[in-house]
Amino acid sequence: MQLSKIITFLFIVSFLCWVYNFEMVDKMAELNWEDEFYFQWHITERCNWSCKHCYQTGNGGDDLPLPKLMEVLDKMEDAVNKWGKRATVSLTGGEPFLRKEDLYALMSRIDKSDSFLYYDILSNGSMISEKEAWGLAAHQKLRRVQVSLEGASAQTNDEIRGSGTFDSVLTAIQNLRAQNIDVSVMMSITRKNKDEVPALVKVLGKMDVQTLTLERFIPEGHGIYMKDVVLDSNEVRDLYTEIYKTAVNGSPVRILLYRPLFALVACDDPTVGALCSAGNNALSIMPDGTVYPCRRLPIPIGNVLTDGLYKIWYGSDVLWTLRNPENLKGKCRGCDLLHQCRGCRAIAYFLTGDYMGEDPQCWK
Amino acid sequence: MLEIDSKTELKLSDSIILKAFPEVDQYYAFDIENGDHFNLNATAHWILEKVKVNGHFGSLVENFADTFELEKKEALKDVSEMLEFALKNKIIIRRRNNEEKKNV
Repeated sequence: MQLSKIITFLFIVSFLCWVYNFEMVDKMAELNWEDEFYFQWHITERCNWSCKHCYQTGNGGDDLPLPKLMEVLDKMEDAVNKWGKRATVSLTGGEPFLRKEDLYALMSRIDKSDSFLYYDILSNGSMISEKEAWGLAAHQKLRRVQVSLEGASAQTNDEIRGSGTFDSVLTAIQNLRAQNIDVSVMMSITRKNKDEVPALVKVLGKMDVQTLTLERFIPEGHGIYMKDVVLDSNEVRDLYTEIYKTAVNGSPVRILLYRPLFALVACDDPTVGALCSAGNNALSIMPDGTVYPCRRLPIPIGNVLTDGLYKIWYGSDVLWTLRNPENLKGKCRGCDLLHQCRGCRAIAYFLTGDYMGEDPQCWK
Repeated sequence: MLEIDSKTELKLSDSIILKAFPEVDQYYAFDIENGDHFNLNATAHWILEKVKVNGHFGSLVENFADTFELEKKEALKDVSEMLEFALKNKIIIRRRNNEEKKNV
C-alpha cells in the first residue's frame, strides 16, 4: 500500500475507531481509540470589549435561552456516550460572564455529569472579580480559566484589545490564582507582538500562570483587514524555533506546543505538534446553535438543535473533506509529517480561499 | 428469523448515510438519528447501495449473483444474511406499500 493510502487509512480509522465492526453479520464490540471529544461552545456573541483582531463578525445569531442550552448539553452527552468518549468543553463567547447566571447553571449541570471530563472558561477577564473567582473555585470540573494577552506590556496589549485591558487581565489572573484556579493565557501572534513572547513568559511566570497558548493570528472577522500583521513563513520558523527553546529550557510557564507547524521544529519530540482537530474530534457551537468545524474555520455545517450532532458529524461534506489527507493541496499534500501536522486549515482558508490549501505559513 | 421473500421490497432507512473509501477498503453506514455506526465490508456496502436504488429482493439477488459470479442459491444465502442483519439493525426497512399489502 502506498504511503499516502496508509495515512488516509489511518486517518479514517482514527476517526471511525469507535464504529461497530460489521463483517456481513457480526456486530462486534465498540473499539475506543481516543477518549475525549472537544466542544468549543460560544454561549453568546455579545462582548464588552472590541478587540481589533477578534474573529467575531457580529453575526453569531441570537443567544439561545437557558432551556435550549440545556438541550444542547443533552445532545453532547448523548453523542459522547454513544461514541464511548467523554466530552471536554470550553465555555466562551463573546464574553461568557455577560450571561453569568446561565453560565453558572451550565457549569453546575456539567459538574454533575459523568459524560464530561472537565471544562474550561475562555473569557476576556474583565468581569472576574475576587468574588467571581471565589464562586468559580467551587466548581469541581472547572479545569482552568483562559484569558488573553497580546503582549508583555500595556502598550502592546492595549493597542489591540483597548485601553486598560492589560491591567484588567492581570487583575483577573491575580484573582483566579488567589483561589488556586489554574490559568491559561492565550496570545495571538502577529508581526506587532511576536518579539514580546520571552517577556510575556517572564510576566506570566511571576504571576504563577500555568500555561501559555500561542496561536497564529488569522485575519478573519473584525481582524479581516489586518493581513499586514500576519507573519510570513520565515518569521514563523524563527519564532517557533525560539519558542521551542524557551519551552524546553526551564520556562516558568508551560508553553503548549501541540499546535500545527511546531512539529517542524522538533518532529522527534512527542509533546510537539498536533493534527488539526477539525473533523476529527472537535466541533464549535455558536450562540444560536450553528456548528462550525472550528471557530477559526467559520463554515456552517448545521445546527445542533435542528440537525443534531449525528447528522452533522456523519453527514457534513466539509467534515469528510477535512478528514481525508488526500484532499490536501500544495506542500501539505504528501508531506512526510502528515502524521504530526496538517497545517492550520483556517489560515489556509483565510489566506488562500481554500481550506484544504497548503498552510501559507509553513516554511518546509 | 426475519421473513424475506422474492417479492419483498426494501429501502434504506431515512436516517442512514452510506460512506465508502474504496482506496483503503473502508465502508460505513451511519444512523444520523441515533448515532449508530456500522463498519461494512465491500460486499455489504454494495448490497446497501443497490437497496438504495432498487430494493426489490428478487432483483437484488439476481444482480448480486451476476456481479459476483455466484450460483443463485449461494447469492440468495449471502444477500439474505446481510439483509436480515440490516433489517434487524434498522439500516434498511420494508417499503410501506409492501407492508400495507401484507396487512391486507
